[in-house]
Amino acid sequence: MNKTKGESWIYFFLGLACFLIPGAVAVFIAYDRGISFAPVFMFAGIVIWGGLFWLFPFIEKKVRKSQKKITFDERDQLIHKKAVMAAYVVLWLYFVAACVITWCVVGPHGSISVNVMPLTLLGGLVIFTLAQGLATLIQYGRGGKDGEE
Amino acid sequence: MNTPRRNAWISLLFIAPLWLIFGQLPILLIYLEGPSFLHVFSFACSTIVGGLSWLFLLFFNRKARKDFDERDKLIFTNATLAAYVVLWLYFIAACIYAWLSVAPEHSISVNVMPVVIVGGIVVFHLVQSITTLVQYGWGIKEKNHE
Repeated sequence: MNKTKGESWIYFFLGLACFLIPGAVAVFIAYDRGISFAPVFMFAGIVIWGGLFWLFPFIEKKVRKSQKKITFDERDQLIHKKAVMAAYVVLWLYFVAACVITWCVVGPHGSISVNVMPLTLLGGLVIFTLAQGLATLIQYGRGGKDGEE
Repeated sequence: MNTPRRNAWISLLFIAPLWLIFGQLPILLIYLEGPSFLHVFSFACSTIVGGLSWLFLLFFNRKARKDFDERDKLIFTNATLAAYVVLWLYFIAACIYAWLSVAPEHSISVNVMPVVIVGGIVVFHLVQSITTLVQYGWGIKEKNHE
């Protein structure tokens, strides 16, 4: 199993706990104690960090350009980009589905709690993380048959 | 002007403004006439097509694929990823703005969600086409494609 594949397994399992639980806690705090800087900042930080975490390998590669040991080669980059694009397709379908279902359930003249929006965004983050991890693992072939120990 | 750059100009000048104007129409129709299967189905289909039209260009359009070399593909992929980054930030901004402007214990109209989705399509097309044009260098002539 190479480094990227190992990271995608970690991302697959820990990503959910790292983003979903603190994000839901931030929404709950804002709902319970009223809107304040701390929960909004916490929520914004989590969704920005979680949603754009896929940029990290590219930034890391640029920062460590001088190092001779290559841990993120061309093939890894291609797999990573394809996985991110697949995850964004799934994310878009999720957003459309969430929107249409809410619209049909509530009716066009109805109203929803404003907390539905951050919770939908958190759901989107979870879906994105899962889809990206899954797409990466499928492209690597899930097992350890990638020519590496 | 090569095909990807022409597509970017069309997207920037026509598709994004058209989505901005006519994308709200199904929402207004459903609001005025009530939800019918046809209206909701057409909205769902149009938003799916609007958000994922780049897939058609990349995978299914044989004519476009012939004009796509490795460099074009790389530029297109980078533009799409950049557009998705901005789209994600737009969704976060829309969500936090709604959260801050309306207190967490209050409600908002359910129509805000489809309006945000349609706005997302406009943002996506704008950013994707601008990023494509920036990568090609706006109007600079290319030796390989002219």
